[in-house]
Amino acid sequence: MNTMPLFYRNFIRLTFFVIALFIANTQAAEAGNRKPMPIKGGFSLVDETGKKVTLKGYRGQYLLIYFGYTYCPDICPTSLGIIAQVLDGLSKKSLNKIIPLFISIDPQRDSVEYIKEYTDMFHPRLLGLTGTVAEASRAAKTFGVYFAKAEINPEDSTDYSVDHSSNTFFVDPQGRILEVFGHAPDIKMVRDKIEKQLNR
Amino acid sequence: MKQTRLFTTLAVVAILGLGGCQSTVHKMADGETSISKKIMVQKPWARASARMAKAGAAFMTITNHSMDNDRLISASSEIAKFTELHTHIHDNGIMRMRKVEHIDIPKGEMVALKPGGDHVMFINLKRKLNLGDKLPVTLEFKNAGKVEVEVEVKAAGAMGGTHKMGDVHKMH
Ligand SMILES: [Cu+2]
Repeated sequence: MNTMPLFYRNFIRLTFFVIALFIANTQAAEAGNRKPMPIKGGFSLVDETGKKVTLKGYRGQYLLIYFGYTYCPDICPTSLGIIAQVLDGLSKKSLNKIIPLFISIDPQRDSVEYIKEYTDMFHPRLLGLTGTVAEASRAAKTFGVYFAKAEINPEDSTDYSVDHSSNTFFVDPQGRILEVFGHAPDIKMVRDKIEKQLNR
Repeated sequence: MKQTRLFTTLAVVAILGLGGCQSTVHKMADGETSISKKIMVQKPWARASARMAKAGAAFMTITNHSMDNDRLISASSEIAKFTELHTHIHDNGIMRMRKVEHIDIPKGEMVALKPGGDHVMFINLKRKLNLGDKLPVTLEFKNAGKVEVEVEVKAAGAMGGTHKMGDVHKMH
């Protein structure tokens, strides 16, 4: 007769313990992330209007940066769809303080014209950047983004997919990384973090 | 009488609880659900593509109502030069898309082909995928044979209901 309530009590205790652990972990992770990370390196690319841009040139603005490629069938559309929903949920004031960037890690196929059409499908504010292979590689290296061609079609060498990291970087006006969001983050979480930072 | 009605209600509730299967009959009419005797395919969808896009992916849920394990062994369509079965390997934050020979559909289970995971891959698209398009795709299962589905094209940033914030991002 006593075993059930005892079990029940232990179960509750265990549950609280797990929840406490979870909260502690989350707070630790948040505190760790909150320290702004200075960026070593930079980039020099062209934007979707054909204008030369650099990472330094964006100082004074908040940036939301995602690296991908326009031939990407799933991972990039998922990430950009999330970014679009994050942007749509921001206040107008906040939206004007942030520049969302999509940087190509496949510049051989991603022309200026094409990257513009592609980014406009997701959000009018999303700005596509591309460049030479060397320029794109430098940009990726600056943010620690991995990419490599994979699954090249033997019949057509221009037909391939690209393995790549799927992180979204939140950069502050001093050019430091404030947050690194992993693949397919929770939209509300990202939006709250941005809104909180922009209204400090 | 009362008990019969109660039983009926319970049965209906139980069926509704099975998740998605309830709308089989009337959804068949608008092409959202395709069904063979053993395999049910629901809500096949893809994303709108840019003009020059060469690749696309289709997602859906597949339920195996038979008593045997089954497996999706191929897909074919007119929309692309090649239609393949793919998956994504999540390797320490790196996304690696790879071709797979088949996708297992265990007996009695529902398998979701969804963003970031298994998908039907279109390679060398013959034309742009426009919002609202319905793309005929033939799926071939080892046991259940061929199942025709119509893949609905949603917005470029659509998530297919895997995210709470809403299905389709509005087009600008
Ligand atoms: Cu694929």
